[in-house]
Amino acid sequence: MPVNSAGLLIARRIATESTDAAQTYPDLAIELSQTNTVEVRLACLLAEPPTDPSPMRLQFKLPLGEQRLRDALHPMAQPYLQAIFEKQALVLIVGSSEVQLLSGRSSPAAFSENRIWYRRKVVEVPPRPTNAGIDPNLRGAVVGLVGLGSVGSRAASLFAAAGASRLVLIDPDRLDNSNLRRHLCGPSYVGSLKVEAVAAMLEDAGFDTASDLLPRGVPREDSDAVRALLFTCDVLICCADSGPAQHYVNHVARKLEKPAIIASIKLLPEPLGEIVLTRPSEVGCFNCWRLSLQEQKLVLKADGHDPADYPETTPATPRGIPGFHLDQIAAVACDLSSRALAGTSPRVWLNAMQKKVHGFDDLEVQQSWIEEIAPQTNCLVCGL
Amino acid sequence: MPGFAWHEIDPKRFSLEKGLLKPPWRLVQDKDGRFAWEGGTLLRKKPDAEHSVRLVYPEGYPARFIEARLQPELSPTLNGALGLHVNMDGSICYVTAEGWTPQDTVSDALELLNTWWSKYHWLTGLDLDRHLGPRKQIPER
Repeated sequence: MPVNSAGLLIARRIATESTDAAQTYPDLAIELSQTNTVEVRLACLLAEPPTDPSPMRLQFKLPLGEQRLRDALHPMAQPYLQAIFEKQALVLIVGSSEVQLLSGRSSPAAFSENRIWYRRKVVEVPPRPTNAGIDPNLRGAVVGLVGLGSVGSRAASLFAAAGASRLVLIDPDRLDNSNLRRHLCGPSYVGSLKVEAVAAMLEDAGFDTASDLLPRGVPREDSDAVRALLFTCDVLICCADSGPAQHYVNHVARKLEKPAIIASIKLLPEPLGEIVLTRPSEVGCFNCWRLSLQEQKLVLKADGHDPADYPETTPATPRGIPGFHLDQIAAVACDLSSRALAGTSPRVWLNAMQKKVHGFDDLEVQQSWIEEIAPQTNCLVCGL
Repeated sequence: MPGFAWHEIDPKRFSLEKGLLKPPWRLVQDKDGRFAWEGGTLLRKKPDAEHSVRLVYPEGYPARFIEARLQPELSPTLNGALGLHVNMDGSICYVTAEGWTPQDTVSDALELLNTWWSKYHWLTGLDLDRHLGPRKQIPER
C-alpha cells in the first residue's frame, strides 16, 4: 500500500502514544496541501457505501507559523490515526479529486496489499518495481534527468539502483508540502531545492551515484550551459510535464545525438501515461509524435495552452495520480533507457490509467499501447 | 558558452531562419552573441507613435519562444490590457511559453506579434506580405 513519508511520520508518532480515539474509522485518506495554511483532509473509506457522505469528510485548517508541519498535524489527526492503529488498517494518501469522489463513489472497497480503491472502482495494483540489480546497459552510464517531480524522483532512484555512475539533475523548484503526496522525498526535505533533495535522498538510501546539480528551468535559463552539461550524458530523460521542457530535451538530444526518453503523465482529458523515445540514429522524434497528434486533432496547439496537454478538460478530469502509476511510468522510462542504450526498444509507450482516452480508442484501460513514431516530413527538429 | 549555442548545434535551423524575413529586417548579433532581427516597425494610432521592433532569439530556441522588444519601450505600468502584456523586463508578452513549439519560426513570431498588436483598436498591424520572406522550405527526407 503506498503510504507516503508524511503519513508514515504521523503514524509512527501516534503509535508510540496512547490517546482516546474520538471516532473509529477503518481506513482514512489524507491529503496535505498548502496555501496560507496546511490543510488536512481525512476521508473515510467504509466497507459499505455511505448513505450520507458528508460526515465522512473532515477538514482542518492548521497554522504553519514557526510550528513544524508534523507537530501541527499531530494533535489534530491523532484521534483518527489512533483508530487506524487499533484496527491495524492502512493509510492511503490521496489527492483532492479522490476525496471529492469519495462522496459519490458507487462501490465499496476494502484495502489489501494488492488491491486499492481508486476513483469509484477497485483496480489491481501492479507490482511495485523493485531493484532487480545492476542493469548491464545502464551500469556506469551518465544519465541527464530534467524534471525531478513525482516521476523524476522515482526515475532517479531507479537509475541509481540500476548502476548509473552519475546523474545530472536539473530542476529549478523547491520541494513544497504540496509535493509530498506524490514525491519520493519526504517532509524532512521540504524547502530544499529538488535537485538537492533527490541527491540527498539517494545518498541516504545508500547509493554511491555521483550527482551534478543544476537548479535551472529549461528552456528558460542558461540553456547553453545546460546543453554543455547534457552533452556529457549517455542518455537524457525528461520527466517534466511542461511542453517547452519536453521539446527542449528532444531538440538537444537530436542535435547532440543522444538517445532521449520523454516520460510524463497527461491528465487531460483522462489520465494517460506517455513515454516517447527518440534515438539519434532514426528519423521520427518527440516533435514528430506531437505533430502527428495535432494532425489527428488529439492535441490542440492554441495560444495560451500547453501544447503537451490533451484537450477537452472537464470538471471530472482527475488531478491526482496514485503512487503506483508513477512507479510504473518511472520504471518503464528506466527500462526504455536501458533498451535504448542497447539499441532496441519500442518508440512510444502509452498507458491509459482508468478511463477511455478520447481519440485513443485502441488504448484499453490499464493496458499499455506501443507504437512507432511516424516521421513527419515537416518536422523542424529531425526533418531538417 | 561557445559550441553549445542553439545556432551552433542546429546550423540547418539557423540557415532556415536567416531566409525568413525580408528587408528592412536584418539579422544582427549582440555583444553576448545572441542573434536578433531588427528593422521592423509597428504603428500606434492613439497616441500616434512608431515603435521599432527587435525579435531576439533566446538561448533556449527553438523550444523557447522568440523575445519581442519595442523601442521606445512600452511600460508594464500602462493602464489597461496593453500594460498587462508587457513583461517586467520590457519584453512583450505576445505568446505564452506553452503556446510555442519548435515548429514555430521567426515568421510565426512576427505573425503572432502582429495579431497581438492588432487586437487593440488603437493600434494598427503590419502589412505582413511586405515583411515575410519565402515560407519555410523543408527538404524532403
